[in-house]
Amino acid sequence: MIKLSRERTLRVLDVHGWSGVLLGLALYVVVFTGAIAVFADELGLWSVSGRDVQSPLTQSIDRHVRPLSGQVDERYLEDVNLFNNPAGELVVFFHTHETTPNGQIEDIGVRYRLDAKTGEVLARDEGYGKDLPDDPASALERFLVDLHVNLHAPDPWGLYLTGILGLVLLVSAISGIILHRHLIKDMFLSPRQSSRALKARDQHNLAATWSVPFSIILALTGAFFSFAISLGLPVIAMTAFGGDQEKMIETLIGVPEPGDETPHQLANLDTILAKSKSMTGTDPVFLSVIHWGRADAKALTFHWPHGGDINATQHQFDAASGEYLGSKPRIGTQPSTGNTLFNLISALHFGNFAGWFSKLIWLVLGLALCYVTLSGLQLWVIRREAEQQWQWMAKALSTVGYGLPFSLVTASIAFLFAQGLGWSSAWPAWGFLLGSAACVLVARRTSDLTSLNATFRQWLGWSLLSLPVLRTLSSGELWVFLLQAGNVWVILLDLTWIFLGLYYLRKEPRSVPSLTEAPAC
Amino acid sequence: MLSIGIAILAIAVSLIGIIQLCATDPKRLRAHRKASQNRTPHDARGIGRVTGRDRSGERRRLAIFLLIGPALLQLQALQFGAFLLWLGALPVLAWLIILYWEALEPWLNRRIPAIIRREGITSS
Repeated sequence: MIKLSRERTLRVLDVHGWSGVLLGLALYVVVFTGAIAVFADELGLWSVSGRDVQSPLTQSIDRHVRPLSGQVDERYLEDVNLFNNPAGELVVFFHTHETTPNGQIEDIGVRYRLDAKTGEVLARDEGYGKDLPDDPASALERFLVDLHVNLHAPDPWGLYLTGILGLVLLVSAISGIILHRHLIKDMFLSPRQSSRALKARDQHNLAATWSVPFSIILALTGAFFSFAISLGLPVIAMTAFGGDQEKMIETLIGVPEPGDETPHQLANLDTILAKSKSMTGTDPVFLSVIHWGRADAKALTFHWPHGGDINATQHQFDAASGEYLGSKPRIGTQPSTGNTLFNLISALHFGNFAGWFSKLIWLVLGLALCYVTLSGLQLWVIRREAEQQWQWMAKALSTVGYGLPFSLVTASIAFLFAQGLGWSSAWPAWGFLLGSAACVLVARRTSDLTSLNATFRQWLGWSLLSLPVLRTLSSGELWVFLLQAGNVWVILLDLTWIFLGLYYLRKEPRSVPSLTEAPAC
Repeated sequence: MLSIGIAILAIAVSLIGIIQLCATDPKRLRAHRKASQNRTPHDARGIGRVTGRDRSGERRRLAIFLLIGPALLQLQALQFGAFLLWLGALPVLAWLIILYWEALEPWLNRRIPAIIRREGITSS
C-alpha cells in the first residue's frame, strides 16, 4: 500500500488520466494490432488459403537456387537470403549492402520468387530492398505488422511514435500502481454490482491490476524495439564505430571477417538444411549464405524456439565444405549477456516461444490490455458526463474501439478481392482506409451512442461472417481440400471469424454506464 | 510439449490458490460485499458469521503457497518456457475468475463444497 497525500494523489491521477487521454487511442491501435500480429504467420497463411508445401526449405531447393546464382551480378553473391512467403513460395534474395545517396545502408540486389516444388521463377525484381515491389502473398500480413510497428508512418517517425506509446503504457502502469492503495487485496475482489459506474470502475481496476506485469513487460520490450532501431543503433554507430553503420551492423550480427576469397564450389544446400533439421528436430525457417561461391563461404540456418527453450537458435556451417561449425548467437559471434537479454526481450515481446499455446496466451493478454485502455478512457468520459466538451470523446472511443477491428476486417476483404482479381498489393491499406472512413461517417451521423455501438456491432458481425465466404470464393479452396493439404490453420481461422461474427450479431449492446444512474438495488 | 504440460499443471495449481484466496473471504471482501449487494441487516449479519474455529488465516497462507509455489518450482527447475507461459496465462485466468466470481461462486459451492464452504461463502 502506497500512502500519498491528497495533493499528490490528485497529481498522479492527472498523470495517469491525461497520459491515457492524449495517447490512449493510439496505444489501443498499437496494442490491438500487436495482439493480432502474434498470429501474423497464421493470418498470412489464411489470407492465401494455405500452401501446398508446408516447409519449402526442406524441399530439394539446391537444384533450383544454384543456377540462379549464375544469372545475377557477382557482387550480389556477398549475401543470399532464402525463406518462404505465406503461399509457400521460395524467396531468394541475392544482395549486397550499399550506402544510398541519403547516407542510409540499404540492401541492393535481385530477388526471385520461385515455386518451391518445380523451381519455376514466378517473379524477378532488382533494386534497393525497400524499393522492391511488395510480395503480393505477404501483403495482408505485412500491412498488419507495419501498422503495429510504425503505424505506417515514415521511418524513423513511426518508430519514435510507437516507442513513445510504449513509454506511455509504462507511465500508466506505474501511476496506476501508485494510485491503487489496496492493490493486492483488490486483486481478489469481484466488481461491485451496486451501480454500473462503480462496476465499470472496479472492472477497469481489476483488469489493470492483473495485467500490470504484462503491461510493464510489453511497454519496456516494445519501447526497446522501437528505440533500438530508430535511435539506439545510430547512436552506437556514431559513438563506437565512428559513424560506420555497415561495420556496426556486421559486428552486431556477427558477420564473419572475409578470409579466403578463392572461388570455391558451394556445398549442397539441401544437405546443410537437412543437417540443421536433424540437429534441432525442427524445420529451418531461414537460410543465409555469406560469400556465396568462395572458399570462406558460411551458411546460417535459423530455427524458431523448440523443446521448452525460449530462444530461437541459429546454426553456422562452412558453406564450402558443408561442415557444421556450431550454434551462433543472434548478437555477435560469442555467447554474451547482451545476446541473452536480446533473446529474453524477443521471447517476452513476440510470445512465440511455445508455438500456438504461447501465442494464444499473448493474444489474450494483449486483448486484456486493450480492454484496460478502453475501459480507462470510458471512465474518464463517465466522470465528465456533465461537461459537454468531453462528449466527443465518448463517440471517438466507440468509433476507434469498434472501428479498428472493423477496418482490419475491411483490409482483409480488400486483400481477398485484390487476390482474386489480380490487383495491387496496396489494397489492404485502401480497404483499411475505406473501413475507417465509413466508421467516422456513421459516427458523425449518429447522435445516440447506444445505437452507434449497435451499428458497429452489426457491421463487425456481418463483415467477419463474410471473410470465410470471400476467402473460399477468391481461392476456390474448400475445407476438405485444405484438410487434405494440412492447412488446418486456415480452417481454424475461418471458424474463428464465424464464431466472432455470430457473437457480435447476437450480443445486445450495453447501454453506456452513467454516474448518475441509480444503484441497482 | 513438456514445457506446455508443466505450465498447464502449474497454472492449475495456482488457480486453486486463487480460488482459495477468493473463497477465504477477507474482512475487506466481506465489507465490500455487504456494501455492494445491498443485503438486509439480517443477511449482512449472516455474512460476518463464522461457524466453528476460524481457520481463514491458515487457508490464506496455503492459498498463497499454491499460487506462488509453482512459479518458484519452475524457476528452480530452470523451466523458463513453462514459467513464462504460467506468467502469461495466470493473470488472464485469475482476472476472468474474479470478474465472474459472483456467478462462479455458487457453482463452485455446489461442485466442490470441500474446497470452499466456509466463511460466509454460502451464508446468503
